[in-house]
Amino acid sequence: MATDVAPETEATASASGQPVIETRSLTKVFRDFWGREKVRAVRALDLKIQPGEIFGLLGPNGSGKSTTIKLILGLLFPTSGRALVFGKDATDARKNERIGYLPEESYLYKFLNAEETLDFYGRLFNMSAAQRRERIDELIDMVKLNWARRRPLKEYSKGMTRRIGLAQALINDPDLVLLDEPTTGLDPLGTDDMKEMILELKARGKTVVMCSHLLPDIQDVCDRVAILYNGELKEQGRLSDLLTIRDEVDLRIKELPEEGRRELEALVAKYGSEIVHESRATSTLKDLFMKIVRESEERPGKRAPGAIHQSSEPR
Amino acid sequence: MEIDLRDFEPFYTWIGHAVILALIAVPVLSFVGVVVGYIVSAVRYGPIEGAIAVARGIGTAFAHDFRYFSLRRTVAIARVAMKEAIRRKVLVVFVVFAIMFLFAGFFLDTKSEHPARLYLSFVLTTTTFLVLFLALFVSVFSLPSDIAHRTIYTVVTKPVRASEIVLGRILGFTAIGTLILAGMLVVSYVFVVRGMRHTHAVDGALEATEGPDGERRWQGVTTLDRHHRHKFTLESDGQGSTDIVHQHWHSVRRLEDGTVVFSPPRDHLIARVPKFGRLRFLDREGKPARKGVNVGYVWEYRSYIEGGTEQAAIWTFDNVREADFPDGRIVLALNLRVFRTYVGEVKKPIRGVLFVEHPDPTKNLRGGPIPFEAKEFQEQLLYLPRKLERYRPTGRSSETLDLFKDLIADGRLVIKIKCDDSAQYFGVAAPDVYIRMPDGYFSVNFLKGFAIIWLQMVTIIALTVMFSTLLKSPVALLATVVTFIVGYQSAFIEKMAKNELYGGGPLEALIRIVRQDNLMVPLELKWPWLEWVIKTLDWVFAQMLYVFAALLPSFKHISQMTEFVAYNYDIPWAIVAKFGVAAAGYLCVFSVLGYFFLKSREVAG
Ligand SMILES: Nc1ncnc2c1ncn2[C@@H]1O[C@H](COP(=O)(O)OP(=O)(O)OP(=O)(O)O)[C@@H](O)[C@H]1O
Ligand SMILES: [Mg+2]
Repeated sequence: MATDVAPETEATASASGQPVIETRSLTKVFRDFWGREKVRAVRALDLKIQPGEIFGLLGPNGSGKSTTIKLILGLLFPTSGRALVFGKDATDARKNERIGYLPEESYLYKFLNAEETLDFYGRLFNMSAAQRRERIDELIDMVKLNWARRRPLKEYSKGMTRRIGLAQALINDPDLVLLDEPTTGLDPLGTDDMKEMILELKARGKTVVMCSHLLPDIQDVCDRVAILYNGELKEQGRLSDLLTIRDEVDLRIKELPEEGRRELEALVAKYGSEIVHESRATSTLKDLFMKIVRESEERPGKRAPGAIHQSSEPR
Repeated sequence: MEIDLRDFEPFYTWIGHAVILALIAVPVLSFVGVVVGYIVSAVRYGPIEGAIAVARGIGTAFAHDFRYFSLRRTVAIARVAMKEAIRRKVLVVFVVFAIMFLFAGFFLDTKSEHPARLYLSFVLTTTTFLVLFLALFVSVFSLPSDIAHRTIYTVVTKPVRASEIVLGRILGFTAIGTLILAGMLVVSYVFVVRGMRHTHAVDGALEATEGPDGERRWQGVTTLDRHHRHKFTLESDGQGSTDIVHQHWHSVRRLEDGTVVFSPPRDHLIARVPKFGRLRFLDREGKPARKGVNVGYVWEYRSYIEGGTEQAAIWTFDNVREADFPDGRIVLALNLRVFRTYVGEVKKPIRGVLFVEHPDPTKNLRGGPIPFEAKEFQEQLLYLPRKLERYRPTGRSSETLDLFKDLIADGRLVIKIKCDDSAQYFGVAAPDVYIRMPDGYFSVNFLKGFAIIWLQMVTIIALTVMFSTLLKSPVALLATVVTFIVGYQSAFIEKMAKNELYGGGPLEALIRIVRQDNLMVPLELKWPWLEWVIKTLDWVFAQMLYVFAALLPSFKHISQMTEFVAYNYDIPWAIVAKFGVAAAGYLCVFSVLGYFFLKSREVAG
């Protein structure tokens, strides 16, 4: 089954040329002052993210998602391996021209107001005053903060801060957006807006990398996901592939008369099969996630990514 | 105030040395920097990866980061830095400053002989202290707090370069500091000028005298104001002046109705422009000598000439042009020290004579003698008239010499001073006798003093920002303070390194303190090897500190420049230019270091 996922990834890669993000056995070890190893946060991670994809990074708390994103951004330096963004090293400041980043929490200058904040970040992109003015209005509208645009951020609520954080990530109309738990702190409406915005970015050909614990959200928007556990890549692939149960068939039949149904059951029985479920075509991401976590807990160590043992048995 | 003649070196000779020094220092320091960077990197990533990392770091620095430096981004960072500083309520410092000045009158001793000097020292010292303190505190918390609060994450993930983050901060804090310093400048100027302003009235009756020329004059005494009173003389036309007390005098005028009015104080806030010369000596027999005699002070900066002998001090001044002296006479300022081998009448002044000699001794032209009485502890002015009598060792001469035509050749003026009272001595150093050129403007000089404080402030800001790219704020604070002290004490450290201090280095001094030894006795330990170890360690420490200190800005030297203002000397533009160039150099070095530190730092680590 493993082969089902891998060739597809390869195929997309060769079709569109250079991946947006590529990590090559990326490893990060946090050390204490004396150089002793504290945590091995990311272990030999190989990822390739293609243009136009929405890529989800999943994993339990402390599994290395944020660390991976920071390595990709050059906020952290890898202990070994490399991270490339647009073919450039992660520490190269030029890559930032095309990147937007929303950190775990919005780390912004609390003494600036929304306009000043966006103006500041706009200047960092060397945008002219006119460009900045236009973009600021657009973004403040988009994140629906028009009513609070002149209030200093220290007065903002969590969700409001999150919104302005998102606006600053998009100030340069980036080609690659990295969102670290974008929906935390947002109200249901905000969450929906966020999802809509992510899909809109995709529609405009942008690449989005996000991590989140809200699996339904991921399932709604992501094309591909990678699941990390304890810094290791446990699973990676298209959501559609990962969630397809390969030894099960789902039929959806319209207006099947009672006798037709009986015949169908007989047919199934003839091949020694049985109908287990009728309505659901795929498993949910949550099931997959729980399964991988449980498996990893039971059997620590390297798990071949793509080796989906997705069968009916755990349900 | 001891003047160091090296400060008066013209700018073009200095810049030559400075450029040569920079041409040596830059490659050497860069090499040291690369080696240190490599060691750190090799420890972190291993020898080969480390080398690659260093090479890549230097490569991107020059290929991209310096090349794509953006002023707009730098200004953006600077603006946020300024807002942050204002939010930190830096303006409080200014309020403290203003309040201090409101109450300064209570603790400034107006009985002082030199009130202007006292006032000026007070404002300049206070300003320096507060502004440097402010510069340090404003810049030391900024970057570390951005890193601690992770606001740096959203900044460094923009196309901003580490160089812009560092320079932007330096720029922003400098802007804030400049605003505050400008406010302080105005407040201190008004404080000094207003604080010094006073007038007097006549105390008692005027006394009429008749001079040898038959003119009637009136003499009188003023009331006691500001702890002093003046004597004054009114000429027959009703105009006059007081004597100089407490560094100033007043002009006096009698009005129609007979009341006598005094002007505000004069000449207490001036900018004297000295032209210094080179000093050489003649010994008792009149032969050239390197020094005079030493009267027993070991570290004496002055050398002594004995009265009643051929011993003399000879100053040579260059570039003395007639055009610079519109009224045809040259004013010489004398600050001689007197050393008495017998006290005699204490009040009796010691007499000296002065000659003007033609620079070419074979011409044997000498004008003078001009006798004078040395006044101790105060500057005395001596006027060299245009026409001088030619000196003949025997008998009087009727020949007169022209100062500019006969005695000054190629702009060179030679002055010879001898002490006339036998067994008494004059103590002299090269700066003790100078030609007083026309005065500069006090207000301009005051501004120059502030410009020097400003340069010091910029240097401190750059230094602090550099440390704050690498260290947490308390550590950066400590590092800056230590650097400042080492830089401030660089002269002392130089003495220590050259073994000119009594009591040895820090370890030896510690042992002496514990044993309560006298500094003069040799350190004698039970084990000679231990003594050797201690002295060697002290020596190594001193040499390291010396190199370090030599590399740092000599803050003491810089702040001494403000004494020029307090002592009413004009700060030569050359000094301002030198410090400007030095500050620019340090700014470059600290920004480049800050850039590499920040660039090689894991901001999320
Ligand atoms: N600066 C740091 N110093 C030391 N250890 C760190 C540091 N940052 C992260 N870690 C450790 O690295 C591991 C991964 O952390 P990371 O923040 O990447 O997790 P995460 O997957 O984002 O978790 P969460 O879902 O809670 O956000 C954790 O064990 C964490 O303690
Ligand atoms: Mg996280």
